[in-house]
Amino acid sequence: MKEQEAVVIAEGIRKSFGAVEVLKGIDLTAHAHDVISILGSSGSGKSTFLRCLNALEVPSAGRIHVHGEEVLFKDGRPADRKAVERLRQRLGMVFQQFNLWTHRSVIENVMEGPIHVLGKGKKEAREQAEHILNRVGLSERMDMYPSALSGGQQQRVAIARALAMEPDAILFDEPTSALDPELVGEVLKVMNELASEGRTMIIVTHEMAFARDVSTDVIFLHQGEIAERGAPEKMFSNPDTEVFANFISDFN
Amino acid sequence: MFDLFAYGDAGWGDELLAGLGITLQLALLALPLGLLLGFAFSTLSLANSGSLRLVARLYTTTMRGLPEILTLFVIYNGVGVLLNLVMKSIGADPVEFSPMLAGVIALGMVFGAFAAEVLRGAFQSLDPGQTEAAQAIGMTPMQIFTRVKVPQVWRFALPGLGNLWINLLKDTALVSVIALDDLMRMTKVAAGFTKLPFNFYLAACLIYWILCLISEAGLAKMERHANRGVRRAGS
Repeated sequence: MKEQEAVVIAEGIRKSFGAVEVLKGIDLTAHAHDVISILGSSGSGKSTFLRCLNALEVPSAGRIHVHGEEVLFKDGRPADRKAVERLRQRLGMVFQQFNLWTHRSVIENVMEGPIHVLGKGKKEAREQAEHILNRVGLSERMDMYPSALSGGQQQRVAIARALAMEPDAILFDEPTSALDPELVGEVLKVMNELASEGRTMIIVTHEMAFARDVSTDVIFLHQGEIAERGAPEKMFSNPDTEVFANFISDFN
Repeated sequence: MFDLFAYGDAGWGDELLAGLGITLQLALLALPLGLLLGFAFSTLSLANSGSLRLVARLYTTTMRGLPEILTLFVIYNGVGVLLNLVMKSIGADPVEFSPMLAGVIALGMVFGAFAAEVLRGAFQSLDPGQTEAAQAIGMTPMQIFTRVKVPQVWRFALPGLGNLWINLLKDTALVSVIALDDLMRMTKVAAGFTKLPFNFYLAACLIYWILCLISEAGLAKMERHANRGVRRAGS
């Protein structure tokens, strides 16, 4: 166990779609400043698990604890819907398809949550949004609409939108998978900066180099279960399981 | 010729203008009622519960299936009688169910049925990712509806709703048969009184046509605003 405070605790997360159980009881603990990469082939349940953490996919069973907010899931339902909303405020989310609100400008996308969820004043929210957009290198694009931006720029806005909520941890669901290869770098660069300033991040990714070099922990999911977990240096150089060895051999 | 449309006792200008006022009042009151019903029934038609969907389906099928003039008669005569039966049974004084109120309710209900279908299609074309992004920052279902879904549904639905509005403007003419002094009825009265039907009906045509022109300009502006975040092909 590490000494830092646990930010996100997920226990016994199960998820079934009809008769098919895609998550068979998964545990995860993220401490402050952890960068956890979740790897796995398609169908392993990795995206479903990430989406369970903020209940976008409602777990069939399990317990999620984020910074003093705890939600129990039973029979495919949260015990407390309001607690789910509070839990979501504490967790940022960056989607594969960006999902910026198309009817709002870049800066309005970033200000929306602070104003309407956190109840901040407009002026304060705008100053904060300008500051964050400046940090992700988009201060020139603030008044444009998302449709006028490249995929890489849209994803950086999406990261800014998550940061504006001042979350305890940020979830990334394959953040670079929908991008043209030449745009992947600008998004990874921002994520790298967030990691090095100590943000707690949980990332589903196919970027093996990023998982190996930036994460503090790696979790490998296989058929809805954790097949292997550990420090990236160890796992990538000397994997314990054959499935993970095969998985990384496809990328090397 | 222009004396016919003079303002005051000599001409029919003031009567026609008053009629236009009634026409606009009807349409502008029926519109919010219709939109409200449209949103309500489109939401019901997309509900998980089968019985709620059935309620929505019954409403839209009935309202779209009946001739509008029949709906108007049913509301004006039927509901008026019903209302006074209720008032009598609780010992209250009878109330007058005005033609204006009947017109607004009937036109609003018909508008609502057609609007529900337009809005149902629009709700179904929403990208679920837009809603997920709102859920992910912890918005309440109500906030998601008003701040994300409605503005986006609006964009998809605006052309269809604009059509319904122009139809509504013209359908107000139906209330002339329940003795409401709208533009249509005043035109008919003037035409009959002066024995100059051609002049007056032509004038009415012109007025309805101008209303349509103004509406189209307004709708085009609203569509430009609703589409502000959408990149057009070739731009």
